[in-house]
Amino acid sequence: MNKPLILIVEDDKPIRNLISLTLESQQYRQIAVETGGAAVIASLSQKPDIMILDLGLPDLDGVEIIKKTRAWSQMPIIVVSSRSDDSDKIEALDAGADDYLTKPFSVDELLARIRVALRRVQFMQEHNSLNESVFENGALQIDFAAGCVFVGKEEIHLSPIEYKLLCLLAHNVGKVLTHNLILKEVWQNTLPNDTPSLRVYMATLRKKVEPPLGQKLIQTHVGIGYRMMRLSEEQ
Amino acid sequence: MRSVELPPREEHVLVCISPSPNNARVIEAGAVLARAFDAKLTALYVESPSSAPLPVKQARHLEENLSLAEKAGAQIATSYGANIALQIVEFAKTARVTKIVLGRAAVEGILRSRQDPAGRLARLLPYAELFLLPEDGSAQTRKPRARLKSFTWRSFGIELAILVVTTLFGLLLRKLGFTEASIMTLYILAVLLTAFLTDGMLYGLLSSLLSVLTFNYFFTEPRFTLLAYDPGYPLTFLVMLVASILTSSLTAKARQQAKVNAEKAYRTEVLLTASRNLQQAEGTDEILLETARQLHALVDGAALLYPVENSVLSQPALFTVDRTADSLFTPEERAAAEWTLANNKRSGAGTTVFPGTRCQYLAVRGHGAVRAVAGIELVRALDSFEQSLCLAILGECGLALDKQQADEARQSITLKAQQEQLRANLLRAISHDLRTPLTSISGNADMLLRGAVPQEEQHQLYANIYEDSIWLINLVENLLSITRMDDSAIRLNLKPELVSDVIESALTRIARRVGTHEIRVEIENDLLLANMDAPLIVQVLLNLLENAIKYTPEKTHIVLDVRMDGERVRFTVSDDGSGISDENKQHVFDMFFTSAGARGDTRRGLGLGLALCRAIISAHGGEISVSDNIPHGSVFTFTLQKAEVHLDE
Repeated sequence: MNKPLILIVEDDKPIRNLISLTLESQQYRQIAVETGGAAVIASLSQKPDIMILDLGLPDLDGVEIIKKTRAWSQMPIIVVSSRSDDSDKIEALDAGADDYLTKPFSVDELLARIRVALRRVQFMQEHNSLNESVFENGALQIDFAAGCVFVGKEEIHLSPIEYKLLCLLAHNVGKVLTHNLILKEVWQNTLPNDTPSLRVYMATLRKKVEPPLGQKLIQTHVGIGYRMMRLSEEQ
Repeated sequence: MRSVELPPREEHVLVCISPSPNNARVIEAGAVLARAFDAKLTALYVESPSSAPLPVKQARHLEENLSLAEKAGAQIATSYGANIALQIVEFAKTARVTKIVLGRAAVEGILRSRQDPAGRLARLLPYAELFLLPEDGSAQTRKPRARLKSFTWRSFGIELAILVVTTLFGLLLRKLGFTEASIMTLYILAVLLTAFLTDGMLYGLLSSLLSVLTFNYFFTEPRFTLLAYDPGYPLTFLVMLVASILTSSLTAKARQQAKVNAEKAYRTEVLLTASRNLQQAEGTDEILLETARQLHALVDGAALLYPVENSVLSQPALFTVDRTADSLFTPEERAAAEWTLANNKRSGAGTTVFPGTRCQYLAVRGHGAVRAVAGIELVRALDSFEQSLCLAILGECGLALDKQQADEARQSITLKAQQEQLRANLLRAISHDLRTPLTSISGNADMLLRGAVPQEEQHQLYANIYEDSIWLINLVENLLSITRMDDSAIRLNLKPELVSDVIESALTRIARRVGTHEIRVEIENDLLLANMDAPLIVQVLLNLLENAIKYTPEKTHIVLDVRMDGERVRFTVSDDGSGISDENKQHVFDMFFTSAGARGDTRRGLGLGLALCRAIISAHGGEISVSDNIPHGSVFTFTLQKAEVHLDE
């Protein structure tokens, strides 16, 4: 596989340079643009693998760019926000972004997020998850047809809601799912302020799945949502 | 300095209430005037302590007049005083009355003068306009000097018995040789006794007349006739008659006076108690409940008070002894209460508006607005004395509510001033302390750009830049939390959050700064939920952990422990460093406090972190404290409200 191509959309020059330098150090190929308009054109013409998108652009609203891009592409979008308020991140995630970074972020953090996104790209290329009847992530196995969950050879018994949660996360592995989206998908017609029960179900799910796996599977993003991590093959 | 009386600005019409049937015209004229000038209307009734209680008919007139005034939208005021004119003048001055409407006859009666009464009143009140209405039948407005109560057999019996006993005793004395003069004094005593033991002057008068006749019949020559031979007798009779009338009227007056005094004392006591209790009451709710209690004690029925918030009735305070409280909250009762709020007039039972309700609704007026609506259950008809007491208690309640509102406004101003002060201090401290790391960053970067630094020293400069920028990042995080606190000063975004999630989030964010310290986490229950604004609590945990790392030697241990404590969740962050001296313990949570004994190689903080922690925790309704760890080190503890979640699958 070619070195992945990353599109940087950031109007602030020092930050753009910083991201650029960081990517260079890992030998990623990259395109850097300053405006939303240029970002849309570049993503159409060059078909990058990942987009790193600053939410505070001068010409276009970040959420608009995400919506436009999602009309034709499933490439991972990592949004960068300088506001401490969570609401703009949630809005971007609900619009289809995969992950978020808050300024100030460290170089390590940025690289970690890019690796997660790349694993998602790889996963999406290898499996067309919608058609597959079995999901595999490290030692975790979900047999959608039979409705069973295994870690290694051992079956894990989940309650119906826990199973639904796990499937939803599995279908979006590597992507941060907001509380609202999960509630809408799993509870369907319950009131949206049912997040406390979501928290508890997620905790019991983790308690059942993570100890046999021996590693963290589900990441909690306080105030935002959850994400299933793509477990690396060697572990 | 002499105080200058300023002419009042707002129009205020005063009508004077009297028990006269003609008074209705005065009230109507006052109401028309008030409407025409868009003025406040007050109806004043001056009760005079020297006057005898009103006969039934007049009392009814007075009640009718009072309710007429109330219907006309007047605020009823009652004042007490012997000099009616003075009372009116005093009231008009304090209430800043601009127009007074009076009946001519009433004015003449009040000022006890037929010569230019209006002129006299006008001189007493230079700023008020006077409107005099011609009234016919001024005699009707006069109060009768004494009251001739209807005849009762019981009193008549008492009177006869006294007369018979006196006569028998007189006959006995006569046998023993006493003079007629002594026997006459005996009869005067009898008249006095009669007047004292019976109600009203009728029996006193009757008794004097009968005494004279009996005396004449039994004791004067010729005896056993109503004739008198001695030329001195007519004079004796006259003296006796005058003496008996005088004593009888004096006794009657004394009795009336005693009754009036008792009522006055009762009224004063009730109002004093009400006023004292209302002053002790803290908060609107207590004031309303206290008022309801007072009204209940007065009228025997249930009493409820709807507070008015933003011109809408809210949850009422209720005081009742019976169990049928539900029927006090029917839609019709509510409608009556709302009508009273909207029209600032009486409604409900005993009035023409919603007469079918259990309660009568009255407006509690504060400064320029209806502060509350009182509902009084009418289990029996109230006399004018009780009605005026009710109104007076509601007046007290209105005053107390006004005072409460003023207090709250003052408190919020003080709070605002404190916040402003805090903000000013914060800005000063920040602008001062920002310079240091910024100077270091720009200076170090400059050195590196010039390329004049030897290779081996470059690394140190890079490290300095990095450390200073991390310090700035932490500062900004705390400042952001402070603005968040400011924004949400009224209400935090409290949600039940999983404690383990929040701790995980804090640990992830601090991971890079842990260095050689070892952090151990102990959570009693993975599914523990607490009510919190999650980003703020993460900030608290970060600050506590950060301090534990910063102020303890390398390779020491930090323990983060979470457990349930009744209805609360207790978080503790303990280290085994050198601890905090008792003196410093008192100040660690103060803003801008930094430990003087901090290690030299750490940059001193702004003294914001722990102050922010305390602000956040107390905004959550929790507590934060510091104590000593055993054998050494310090323990920071804070509590949050536990949350419950019900799962239904």
